[in-house]
Amino acid sequence: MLLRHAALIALAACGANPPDPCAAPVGDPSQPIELQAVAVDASGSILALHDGDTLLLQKPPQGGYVIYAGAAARNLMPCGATVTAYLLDRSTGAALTNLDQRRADFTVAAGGFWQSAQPYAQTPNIPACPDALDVGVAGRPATLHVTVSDAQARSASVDVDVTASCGGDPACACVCGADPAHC
Amino acid sequence: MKAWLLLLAAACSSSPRDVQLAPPADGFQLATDSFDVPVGQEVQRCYFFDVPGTGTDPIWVARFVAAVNPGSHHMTVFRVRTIVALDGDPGTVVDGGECWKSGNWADWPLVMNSQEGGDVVDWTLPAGVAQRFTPGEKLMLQSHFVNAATQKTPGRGKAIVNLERSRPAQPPMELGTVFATDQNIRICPGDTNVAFAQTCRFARQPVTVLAANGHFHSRGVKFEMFAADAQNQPGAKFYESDTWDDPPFFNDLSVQIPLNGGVFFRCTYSMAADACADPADHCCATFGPHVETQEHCNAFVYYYPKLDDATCF
Repeated sequence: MLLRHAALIALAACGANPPDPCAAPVGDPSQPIELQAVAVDASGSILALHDGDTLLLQKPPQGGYVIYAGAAARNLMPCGATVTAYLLDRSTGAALTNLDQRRADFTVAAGGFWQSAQPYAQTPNIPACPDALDVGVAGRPATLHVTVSDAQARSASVDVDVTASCGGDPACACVCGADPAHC
Repeated sequence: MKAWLLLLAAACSSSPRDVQLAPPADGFQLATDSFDVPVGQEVQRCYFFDVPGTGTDPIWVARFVAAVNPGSHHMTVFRVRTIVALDGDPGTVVDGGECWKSGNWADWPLVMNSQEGGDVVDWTLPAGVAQRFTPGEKLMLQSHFVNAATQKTPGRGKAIVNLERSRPAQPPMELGTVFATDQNIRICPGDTNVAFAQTCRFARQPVTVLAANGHFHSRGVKFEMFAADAQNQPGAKFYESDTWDDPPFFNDLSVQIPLNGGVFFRCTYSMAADACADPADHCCATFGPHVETQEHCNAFVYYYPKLDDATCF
């Protein structure tokens, strides 16, 4: 009888209070934070990025083209982190795109790292073009530079060599190309 | 002075009257009609105008005076460029519909923005700086009034802008504008001080920022702008607002933007745990023009000398 009551109480407790995904660290917080660069594809899925990959330029609601790219992480408290991302020109090291910085909660396990449950809202929305500096991001060899700072102010960075792509969108190819003034 | 007296007269009447503003002695005026803003609704109307005059000589404008009725959420003037699905002959108005869809003015350069409903904005540019217009150039004035839970319109909707001409002996330095918006934001019930930041780099040569204002909706608790360097790093803060429904317009700035730099802007939001923006999305607020259910993070920046029209998405 006692065992049955305990089981019922435990069941009720579990039903009323689902585990808080922010309460426990992801990975080993005694180790340095480790990052895996990621991007959001056209279907809204988060994909790991590796050197040589392409990054899709996507069209948000009002206009222009952006890149959804950031990082998955481990060895940190998962919630309230800040992710900062932008592209660098691989040949000069100069910033190639504008920067995006936003909060992320790394609560979903994926391949040994943890990523956000909100791909678009918590993955940096890197403003790429139109680019008033007329650099031309599409097709240019670039480095995606991502920094994650957790709520305890520990941080880590990851770089991955990528190429931004319009994926066959001719309007994107012009606006994000080397001569946008003639689009 | 005359403009202020007219506004004061309107404010002192027992029921809110429409703002009034005499046209400039030299220059031109953009004015909406007076329209109803029903209880529980948001009204957004797009008015089309042509810059008066003929010929190709530029019209230089060195003073802006804007008077907008209380309850205004924003009033923005754009130069009309690519037509998508929003257009009109001079003197016509588009009420709602396509006037809500921001993709329709994606490449329309900013002329000016005012969010000071019930106040007069009177901005004279520094000597030697002016905004350039061409006779016959098409402009669009967008007026957004709210009379619902987050903002109230005590009377009717109306907006007037005077663009006062200067006739300099020497061509002035041209005023340029920047419009930047973060289109991927999401604020949910219980969120506290959640921040979204971006840069907008536009300075193909060093420039000076003269004025700025930020824009967000009722979950916005702090809007900040900083000078940004060529590597996207923020420098000195030059703008801060913690008043979402009456954000200040800083028009006495002199902020140096370095080569290949621009502006770093950050919007910070909080939302009560029992609040609800969009019931279809877990009560969260995402990017969009509707004050009651959506959010914005828009930066308006004015600088000289003008480079290209700059928009950052």
